[in-house]
Amino acid sequence: MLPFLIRRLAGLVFLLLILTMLVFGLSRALPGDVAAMYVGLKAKPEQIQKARLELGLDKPVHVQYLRYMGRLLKGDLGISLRTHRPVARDLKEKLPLSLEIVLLALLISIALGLPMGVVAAFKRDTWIDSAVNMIGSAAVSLPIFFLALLLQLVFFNWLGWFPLQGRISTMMEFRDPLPAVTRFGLIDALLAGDLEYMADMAWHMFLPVVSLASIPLGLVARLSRSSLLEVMQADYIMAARASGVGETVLFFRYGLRNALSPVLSIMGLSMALMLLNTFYVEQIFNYPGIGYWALASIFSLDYPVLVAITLVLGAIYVLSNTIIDVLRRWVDPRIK
Amino acid sequence: MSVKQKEKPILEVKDLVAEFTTAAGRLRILDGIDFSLFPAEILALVGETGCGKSVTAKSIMNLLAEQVCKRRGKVMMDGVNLLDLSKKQMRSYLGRRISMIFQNPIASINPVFTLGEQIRRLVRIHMAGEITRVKSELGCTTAAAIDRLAAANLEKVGLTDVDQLMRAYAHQISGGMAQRYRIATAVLGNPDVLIADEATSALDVTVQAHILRLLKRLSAEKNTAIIFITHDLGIAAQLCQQVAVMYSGRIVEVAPTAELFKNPLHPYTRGLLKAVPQLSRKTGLEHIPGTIPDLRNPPSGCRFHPRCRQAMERCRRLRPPLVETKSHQVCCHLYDAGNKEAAWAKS
Ligand SMILES: Nc1ncnc2c1ncn2[C@@H]1O[C@H](COP(=O)(O)OP(=O)(O)OP(=O)(O)O)[C@@H](O)[C@H]1O
Ligand code: SF4
Ligand SMILES: [Mg+2]
Repeated sequence: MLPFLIRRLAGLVFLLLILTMLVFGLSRALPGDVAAMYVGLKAKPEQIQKARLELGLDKPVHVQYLRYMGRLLKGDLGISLRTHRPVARDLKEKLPLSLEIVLLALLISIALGLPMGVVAAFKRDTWIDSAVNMIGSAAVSLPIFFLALLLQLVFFNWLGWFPLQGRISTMMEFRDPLPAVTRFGLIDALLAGDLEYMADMAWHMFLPVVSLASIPLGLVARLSRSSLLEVMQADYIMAARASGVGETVLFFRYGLRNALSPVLSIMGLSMALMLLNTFYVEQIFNYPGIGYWALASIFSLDYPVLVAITLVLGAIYVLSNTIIDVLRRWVDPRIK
Repeated sequence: MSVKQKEKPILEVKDLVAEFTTAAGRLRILDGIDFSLFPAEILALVGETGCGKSVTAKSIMNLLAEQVCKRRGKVMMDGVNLLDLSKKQMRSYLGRRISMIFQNPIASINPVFTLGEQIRRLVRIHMAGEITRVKSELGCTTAAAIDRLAAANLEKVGLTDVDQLMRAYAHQISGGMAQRYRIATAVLGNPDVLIADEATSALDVTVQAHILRLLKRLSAEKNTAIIFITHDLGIAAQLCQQVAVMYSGRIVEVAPTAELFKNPLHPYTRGLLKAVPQLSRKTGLEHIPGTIPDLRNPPSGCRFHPRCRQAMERCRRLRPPLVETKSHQVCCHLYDAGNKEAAWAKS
């Protein structure tokens, strides 16, 4: 296991390095003059020239990259063209908001999707199986913006059970802010012992999380079912059955563990998908996370922010895949 | 055989039919299998690839899902038809009365659990009595008793370094070790019948010889009857007292080994013996013209008739019955008493 971990860690560092190069290249390839944008549309040519020197844009590319890396390692992601605030500071605030709903959605999609798939496989060709199949197909095929609007219609307009949008109720906004320990709202509220705050946030998160969880849940349910059914045909299952091992152990222990690897792989993909889907979901629910920020920055061509978001989302994707590889190795010792 | 016939068979298969529902339609893979297995007997089941040997084994063991494979007929053990049993009822037979090992030993070990974990579970399932005995004898914990019994079972099949082996995974051991391990797990519940489905085909020759010796010893020591499925007539001759020859879903001839080799009755068996002793998977049988039948559309009457030099008019029409001669059972119109046309062929 240890050599495996070391190899994976080295791979991770390497991928992150490549990622910074790509993102750096991207930032240079973007249309428009960065210096001109930095000083604003009405700036005079001398001002633009000054900004160019200030930003080091006159230096050779590799020097620029090294400087970029230097700043990156210091946590400097540049200044937003739109707000003129440091990008890193906004990122620190907004990223946890999005990560919180994405991780919750991931958790829900495993916690519900896996048992659904397993039960469907165990009760193959019964009404339970068909029900899971239907829910799974619907969850995968509903476009996320449609689902989000549908949820708003049903749970806000008709039933009035959940708020339309936002992260907390207006009332709560006048309270003292929570101490930022983990920067995950729910956990910080819990740590501060403020259950009312926590409940209010959870109430607001519910519909966005459900919207995000839908596709991964469907994927996990369907994949765990099919993977398990396939595994149950394997020689080693038949051999264990022939030697007298009971069906329950065969299914829930010997079979399930073998079926987990593809399900874990799909989690990595789900993570990437959900990060992108925050763009829609946060817009629709007016939720002030990274997706909301990204869209606003796209419309105002706020390049430093877009470049930073690209970098961060890429890094999260690379990191989550590494974690998933480690988990897969843990359930399946054959993985090299 | 005469001595044997007085004995009661431990396993009796009568008119076993298996039909698969596939995209290509309904395939009658087993078309009425008949044979008996006596205690401590080693019976070879030989035949070309695709003739249904593995399906026979899995049907006997009740291992095929009902949705895919419909079975009829009888698989009698102690007066019980195993085909009538539910999965739950079958559990009191699997591993205890009847067990099986497969062609690819590595693939039949669960890859994500250690060997120890898997054999310990079988010890718990099959050796409850011994566990208490070992516990009281040695005054150790249940876990230690299970460990000890697991190790002892592995040593019995000639494995060494068992502590290390129990911590290993399937992909870390050799094919020979894996097959020994599989034999240990298959016979741990002391079954009366062991089906070995091409248990040595995937192994190299020296290892093959070790495994054959092990099976022979097992059968002798524990009175285990073995159905040894193989392509290799040479191995069948070495190891087995009886040989059953299978063709396209039927057993066409059964006889004591020496008798079968000396005096084969069925035209297919004769062809087999003229061919190279090793029934090659690739080249098929050079001495028998034609190919194995297409099961989507099997020949009428005797399924061998398109390839049989002695085929008669009735072979196309009528399914040959199983005929008992002095020492053989043979499934061919040539030996059908009611068939005058065939009288000349008897010898
Ligand atoms: N699950 C299945 N569904 C459909 N057909 C099957 C299935 N399993 C086996 N068959 C068919 O049944 C026939 C007999 O297969 P079987 O595996 O018993 O052959 P075999 O005699 O064991 O051959 P081999 O020597 O290659 O192992 C083959 O034609 C095969 O295609
Ligand atoms: S029954 Fe007829 S076709 Fe079949 S083996 Fe005998 S002689 Fe040949
Ligand atoms: Mg086979």
